[in-house]
Amino acid sequence: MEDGYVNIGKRLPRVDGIIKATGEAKYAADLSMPGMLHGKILRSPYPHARIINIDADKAKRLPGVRAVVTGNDTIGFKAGGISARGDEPYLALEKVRFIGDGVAAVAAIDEETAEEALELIEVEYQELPAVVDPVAAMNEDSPLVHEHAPRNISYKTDLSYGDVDKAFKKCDYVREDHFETASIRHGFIEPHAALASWDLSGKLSFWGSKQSPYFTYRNMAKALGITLSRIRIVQPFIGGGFGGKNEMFDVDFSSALLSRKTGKPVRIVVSQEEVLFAYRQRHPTIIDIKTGLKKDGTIMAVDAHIIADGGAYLSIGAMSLYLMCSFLCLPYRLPNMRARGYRVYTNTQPSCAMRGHGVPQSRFAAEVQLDMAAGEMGLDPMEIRLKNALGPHETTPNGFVITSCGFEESIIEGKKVIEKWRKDRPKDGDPNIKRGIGVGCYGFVVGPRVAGHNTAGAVIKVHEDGGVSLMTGSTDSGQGSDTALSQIAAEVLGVRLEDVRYGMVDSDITPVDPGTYGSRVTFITGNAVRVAAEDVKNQLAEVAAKTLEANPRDIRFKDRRVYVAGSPERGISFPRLVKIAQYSGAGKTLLGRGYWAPEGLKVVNLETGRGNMSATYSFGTQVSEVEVNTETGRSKVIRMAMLHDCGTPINEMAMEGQLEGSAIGGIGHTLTEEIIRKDGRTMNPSFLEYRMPTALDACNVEILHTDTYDDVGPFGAKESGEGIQVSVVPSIVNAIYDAVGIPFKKIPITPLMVLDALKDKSGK
Amino acid sequence: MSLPKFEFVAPKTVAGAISLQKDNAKFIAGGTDLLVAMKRRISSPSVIIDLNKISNLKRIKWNKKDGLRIGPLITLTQLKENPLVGKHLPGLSQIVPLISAPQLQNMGTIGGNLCLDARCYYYNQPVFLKKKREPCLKAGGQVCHVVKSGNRCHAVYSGDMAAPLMALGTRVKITGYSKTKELALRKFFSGSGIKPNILKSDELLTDIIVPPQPESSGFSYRKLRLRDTLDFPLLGVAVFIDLDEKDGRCKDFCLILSAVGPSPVVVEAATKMMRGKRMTPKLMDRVAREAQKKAHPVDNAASSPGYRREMVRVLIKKAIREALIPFSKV
Repeated sequence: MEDGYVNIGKRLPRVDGIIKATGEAKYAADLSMPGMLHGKILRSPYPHARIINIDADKAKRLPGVRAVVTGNDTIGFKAGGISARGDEPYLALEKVRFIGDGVAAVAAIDEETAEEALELIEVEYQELPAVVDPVAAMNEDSPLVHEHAPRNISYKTDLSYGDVDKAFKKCDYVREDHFETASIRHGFIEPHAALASWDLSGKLSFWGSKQSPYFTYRNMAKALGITLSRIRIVQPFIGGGFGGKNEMFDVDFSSALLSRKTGKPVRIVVSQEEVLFAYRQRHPTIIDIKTGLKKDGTIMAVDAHIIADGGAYLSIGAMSLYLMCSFLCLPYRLPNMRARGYRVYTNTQPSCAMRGHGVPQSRFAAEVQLDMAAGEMGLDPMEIRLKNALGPHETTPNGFVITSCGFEESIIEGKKVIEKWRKDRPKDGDPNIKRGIGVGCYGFVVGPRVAGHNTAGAVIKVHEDGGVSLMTGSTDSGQGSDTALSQIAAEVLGVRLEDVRYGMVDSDITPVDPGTYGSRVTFITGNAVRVAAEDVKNQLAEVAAKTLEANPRDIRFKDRRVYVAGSPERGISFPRLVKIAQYSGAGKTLLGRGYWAPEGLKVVNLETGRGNMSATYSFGTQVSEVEVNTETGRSKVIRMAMLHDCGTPINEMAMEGQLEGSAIGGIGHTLTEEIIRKDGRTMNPSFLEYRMPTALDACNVEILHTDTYDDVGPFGAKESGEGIQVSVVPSIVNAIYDAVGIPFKKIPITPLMVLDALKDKSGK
Repeated sequence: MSLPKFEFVAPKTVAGAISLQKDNAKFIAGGTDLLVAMKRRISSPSVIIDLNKISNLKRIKWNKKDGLRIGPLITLTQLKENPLVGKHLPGLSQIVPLISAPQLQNMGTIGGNLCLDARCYYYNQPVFLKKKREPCLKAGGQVCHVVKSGNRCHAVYSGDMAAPLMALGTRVKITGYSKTKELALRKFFSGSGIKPNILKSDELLTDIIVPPQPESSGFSYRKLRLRDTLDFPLLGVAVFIDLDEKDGRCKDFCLILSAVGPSPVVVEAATKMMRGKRMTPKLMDRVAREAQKKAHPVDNAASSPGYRREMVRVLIKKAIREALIPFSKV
């Protein structure tokens, strides 16, 4: 590790901080073009129905309406996380499968006219029996959401390592529990929005709120039946994604289709209510889990049965289910594991990835059950974790290879936090307030390598005044990666962060990229940026070597200076060097190019679950303290500590923002957030009644490091902010367990659940 | 989301505002309730009559005899910051931070809060999600989706100001086309979720009169919510106590429950039970149990009615205890 960095590891303000804080940043809904039309989407009012006929004549005749499109105007492309099993048309074809499914889209001269036109589209439906409960959906006689999927199973897994049955027989302690998690929403503040402009040469330009613009790039070509070279996807600023803006949606497709039909730019902005009732959710789950331990707390076997409510379409659900199951192998040593998972179609909003992608659900079950086991066995929850914690150079039974790992240290530090908190706890308080401290641990992927395209690319252009333009294909959906990537480029080139200008995704110009998911950007794109910066640095080093009469290998770049190693006085300024490189002789076009993907990994086989997902894994321990009011049943998280191995942070300030957001989001998941539906209809499609925590519900969060230096990560960095989400929920649930002696197995834990459980407990 | 089309007028006098009233026109003060309803197409008035130009609805006055006279257009933030309110009725200013969030306190008015429409999570859904459901009673239909067999609208009055103001004996002035009347705030509510107050379309709430409070009195408003901001009350409890400081007996007692039905509920029995008695935990518990019988929350908010009902007792006891704080001897 090299010391004396100018940019790396510093608490530098984000490159997009000022324009976002002042409101100057433009998001997709802020964009407009001359002659632009406004689009709206007509949605299914039924959870399940066959479309008999759509008559849009009246709508088309409404003055101001320029076009109406339906599934009949499409080539019938169906999207899906596994393309061969695509099941989701962007506009409904023969059936609608949930309330909110897109049926038709209108373009008109203004939003009001478009809205009015929606009312005039006559859709004749034949209502079909709907199934909204995933358990009922698996009955043989349940209505089928998709005819091709018997018992409504959209995907299933059966992962098995070791010999679970034999192992349970040898265990001293075995317990089985039933857990449930609710439907929650990503909660991004910027709703889905798209602007598409089809020109007369047959090219499409598209600006949309996409956290992974290249998903849309590929699917747009497939859905429109045109070549990729005719599509240009441009990414404006993104107001949060959390997994809910990876995929292409009806809004994206419809804007393009309507633009093609009208020859005008078309913008569609959906309302936040539509986001809440018609778009993606986190998989609600029903988890039965059996764990066996030795007397000393050694975990011997886990057997889990998971039903995940996938909603109406496949989406990315196969991966979600695999992750739910396979992460039972992390972060503890587990010689025998079996996980059977069923992702089930229902007539509700489709489920997809959301921060932690499937892992928070199953780890909630596993971590809470571990505390219950510890409690009954008379073991300390921290000791049991320490005993089973995976360490560096271990391999999990499914094939995850652990390299850098500060997990054990994080548990030890967590113990210290707990001891300190127990000491400084106020003494004589309200007797109705019970305090408790709980813990949860995690291990998480850092840029998974999956089937398909994995590579991130970066291009760096150096300007003659020493400024640097950096382009990658990666999207900052709010997590701060533009800043982290710029810091990496600046450090390698020996300039300062403010010298770097980050260019957002434009598929005509920027390298193709998988997208922003799986905590991959800083790690994978960061490496591509490092390589690109080294490439251009080497070009400059050649010139510097000539100018300074030294060996290119001995040229150092630091803080806008270029000099010979060991003789800082033998140097010139970075801008001077660039000018020499560009102006002398034939001159150089200074472009750096880099690409990177984790190599040498055994790519996971989704059938067996065997393989190594990620070049490295992040780890950590989350400690939460709660107050449970036994009169009102309300639980309040009063402080949290995160002890976390994210490798070596690139920017601590940005990292803290990520961790705090994840922690507070976890409070919502555990205590207040839940989509309430009646007959498939969302009852709380607003942030008034879908209760995400606000600033006033947040608590103090201490961030402590047990960082490692990862040999593969750029400047030693791994992931931050997503993995920790996995441990937040169980830490709160376990804290409530500690406070009132009740382990809750269902989230969110409402005040009524607490009161009822307290009554039950005192009744016993 | 855009607003539906409407005509906009901003008269300068109360008489002007009333004379502009016609079918399907709506008065607007802060707009924090109406504009949301309009965006969701729950309300589509043809005319909006803005009251913000009427300067004499924006005053706060104090005199010894009548107490505080608060103009209905006073924003919640102004109410919180007003020195007269702070001096004579500090308890009232302390309620404001419990209402929604600062941005809405800046816009929302005290009159608007009293005139807040009743809420129900069926009725308040975006129009699209209501499409395939029969219109409910509040929407002009014949059914209630909450109490399926019922013929009564159970939408909940969810303002935070009414219960405490009622407990303090507030009166309101209503100005109509030809006459003006003054009545107790507790008579202002209709008991129907369809239209929770008695204002006719051509009548305006023009004054809110809070009488001077006896020095020997205590007061509290407690609100049940699941987040520490934004949320409407799932239950509100206001308590007013006037104690004889010599013998600790209760001279007067008033208990109001809010957000458990279409109107705030005056628990008359509680007053009878308390008058002339000393406050004991046992008596408080009896009063709380009695009050619980008056609360009939139904399943029309994103929290269970059972929980809201359960909390009536808990919040009453908390409110009484808080109202008793000034009487350290008790």
